[in-house]
Amino acid sequence: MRKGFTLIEVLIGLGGVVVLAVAATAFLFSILGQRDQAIAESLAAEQVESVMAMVGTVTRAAESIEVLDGGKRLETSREDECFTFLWDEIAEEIRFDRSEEIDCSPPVGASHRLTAEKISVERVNFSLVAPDDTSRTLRLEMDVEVSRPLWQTNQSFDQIFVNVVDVYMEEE
Amino acid sequence: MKKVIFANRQGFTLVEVLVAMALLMTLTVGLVGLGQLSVRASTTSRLRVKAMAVLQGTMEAVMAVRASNFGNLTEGTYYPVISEGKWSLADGTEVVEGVERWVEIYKIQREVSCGGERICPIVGSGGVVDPVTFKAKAMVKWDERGKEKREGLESLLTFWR
Repeated sequence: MRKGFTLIEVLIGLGGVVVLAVAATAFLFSILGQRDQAIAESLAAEQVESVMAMVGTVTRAAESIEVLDGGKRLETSREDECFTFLWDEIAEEIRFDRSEEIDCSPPVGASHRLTAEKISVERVNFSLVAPDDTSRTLRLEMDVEVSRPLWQTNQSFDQIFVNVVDVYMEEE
Repeated sequence: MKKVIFANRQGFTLVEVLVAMALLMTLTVGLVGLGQLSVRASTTSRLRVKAMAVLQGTMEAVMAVRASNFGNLTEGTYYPVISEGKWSLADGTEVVEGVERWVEIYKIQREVSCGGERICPIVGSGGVVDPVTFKAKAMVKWDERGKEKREGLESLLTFWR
């Protein structure tokens, strides 16, 4: 009566199990990686949307807009509220500050972090396009990297905001 | 001798093997489906973010055109371009990074009389055409796994600010 497996049978069995285990692990990691990528992209989009929303609101309401430091710094001002946005290359984040007083000047530094720690802002470029007597268009380009345990994603974002120059207010 | 050896060998029956295979297949199909769902969600989100940026940019540019010269606005379908350093509207539609965009500009009608109010409410029909107000409808259209997706933004373009 046979009571066990031969060495060959055990080896073949082990070989089969190993092949299946490797395939299953690779597959599982691929699924987890895709899930991580989806989460990372969604996080990047969410962060960038909040930056765009704030820069857009401030730009539309500004009376004066200046782009400095080769597109890394944006300063806006109106009668009683001034903003500075800047890209901190070393910390890979966007920072901002605000001063609120009559005849204010844009703050020199920027102490508030605008983007979350989970994302790295790889590049920021503010630029003014198509400026004329009646409007200025601010273009904001951003490259964002999000790292997750199993995946890293890089995304580029590009948005324009139009600041309509209030001629009547300037004439006053 | 051979008959004696195999007569007592214990193994799996055909039904057991089939049940095990069916379970394995069900699990595999479930996992593959999950993976595809993740990829789909990621692609959809990326396309939507891009389309919304294009849409927002289109409406912003229309605002610049309105500010530049309201008198030049006429009804039609356009897309915004920078021409000679200024925003202007060109006839037709434009495709930007896989997203088609355009803006429809049309006149609106207001109630003929509204009890002494300076600006009467907008009506769909039966009113008088307001010569100093247009409606701008910015639209984007893109392909999402063979399905056409559209989003739009509307704004009034008035002579006054």
